[in-house]
Amino acid sequence: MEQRRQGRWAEGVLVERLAGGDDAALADLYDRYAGFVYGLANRMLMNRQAAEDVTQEVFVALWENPARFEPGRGTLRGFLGTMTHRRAVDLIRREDARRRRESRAPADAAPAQDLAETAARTDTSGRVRNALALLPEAQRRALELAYFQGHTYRQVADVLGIPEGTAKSRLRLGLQRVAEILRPELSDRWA
Amino acid sequence: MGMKQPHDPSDPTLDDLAAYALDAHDPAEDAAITAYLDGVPGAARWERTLRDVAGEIGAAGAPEEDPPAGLGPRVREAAVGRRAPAPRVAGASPVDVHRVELSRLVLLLSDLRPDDWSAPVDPPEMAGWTVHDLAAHVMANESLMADHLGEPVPGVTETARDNENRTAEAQARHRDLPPAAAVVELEAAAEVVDTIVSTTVATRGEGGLDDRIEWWAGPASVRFLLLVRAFEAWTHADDVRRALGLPQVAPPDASMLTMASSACGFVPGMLAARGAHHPGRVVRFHFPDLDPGPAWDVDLGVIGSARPAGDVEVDAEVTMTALDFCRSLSARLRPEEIEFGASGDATLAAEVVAALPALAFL
Repeated sequence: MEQRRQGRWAEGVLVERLAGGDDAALADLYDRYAGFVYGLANRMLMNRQAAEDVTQEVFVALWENPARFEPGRGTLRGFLGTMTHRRAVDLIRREDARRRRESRAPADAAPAQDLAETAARTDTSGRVRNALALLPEAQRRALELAYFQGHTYRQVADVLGIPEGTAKSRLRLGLQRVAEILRPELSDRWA
Repeated sequence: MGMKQPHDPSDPTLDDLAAYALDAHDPAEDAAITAYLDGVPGAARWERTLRDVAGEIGAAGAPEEDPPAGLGPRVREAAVGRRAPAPRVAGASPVDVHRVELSRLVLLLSDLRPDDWSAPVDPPEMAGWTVHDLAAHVMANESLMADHLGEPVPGVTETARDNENRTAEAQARHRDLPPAAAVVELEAAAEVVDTIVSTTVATRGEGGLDDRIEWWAGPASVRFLLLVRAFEAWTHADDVRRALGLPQVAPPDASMLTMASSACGFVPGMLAARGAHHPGRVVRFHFPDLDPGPAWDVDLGVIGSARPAGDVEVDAEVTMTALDFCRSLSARLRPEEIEFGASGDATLAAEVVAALPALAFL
């Protein structure tokens, strides 16, 4: 059958319900994604209170403006990941939050989690996992530091002991490779 | 996309934009990059694509972690403080009930881990079935409805038109496929059905749902079959949750109201299936768990006779939660497990409650 993204229609229904002000849909949304949003925020911030704040901000923001999610662009989980990431990075970049975080775990000693080994549960996340597994270790490690630890490319360069330009290139190449596998129609548009 | 890669900070390179998409740029570069993206739509599209992909990396790689128990209520309070929920409706339309329950089942199945699919389910009529078999069964019937509405689901090859054989065909075909295929087909079938019935309502009004189509239990209205399909999706979602040790989840109140009130009309049929006939006698059902505690009067001699409780004498009154009422209909509660209150003819009330699972095979 025609290639279709699993969950696209169902996620669209959920977001339509949110747009219609259905508070049962808000409960469904929270039940399904709170563990992910909170887990991502806590992994990045290493601070449970801050992770709770980010989680609340993310769900309230989507409830306020559900039209921000476009089912054609990606998964709802990915969209919530983007919202969570941005808010967590904002917190990390504030100096006091950074100090709290660094006092708990120095950047270069943060618990490593191999992205490629993370269990996949949906079709999309399975493809992401496969794409990550195909990346050179250097690119995967750069993405890990930037995405999950909220590092800037300068911090990535520091941690890995490489020039800043090289760090940025690794981030682009890694992200681009994943994008090509997720969205093959884009592969001829990168040049 | 043909962008040059200069080093002027006001004209960012592709590397800069990728770092920005990951929120990994230097904060001092923020203004220059956003200004650039505002002025170059192609670059903005490229950056957004990379940002979406970064979100998918997070979705695939972040560990799930249970949030504190009090966070959910706090989120709800904060959310409804910013935007008030819509007022409760008296009951959702059959189209909405179907759409909501099928989409909830699809999302539940989409979240399963590889080992979950081989977990056994517990309904006695599904002895030996796994979660995967159950998903194939629901898909088989949803795609059958799409067939009968005139739009077969691409990729679904089953030809049987009865529940048992179509389910067997679907289970056999899916046994060698990844479980995700069953979810994709189920979702495709639900979307086909939803699109057709939504178009029908948009062009002909709700009356269009009274059209009768073929079904393995006999011709039935689209309205009725949408509710049957929704009911099955909810019931089997709970079967999956039980198999995985997850808590049961009730439908939204508006859906429950529609399902319970519609099902009241079939109580005479449930009694008839048990060989009981009580023409002229009327039972009133109260569902205190639904707001505003609605009640329906059912003439036990006429199938489809349920109407909102009126100022009439009834022979018996039954008070039970709509949730237990509906779970009884699907035989997910045994009669002796049902908590109900009765007044009037208590024997009649008990007989009615005992008959509720009689049409569970539907």
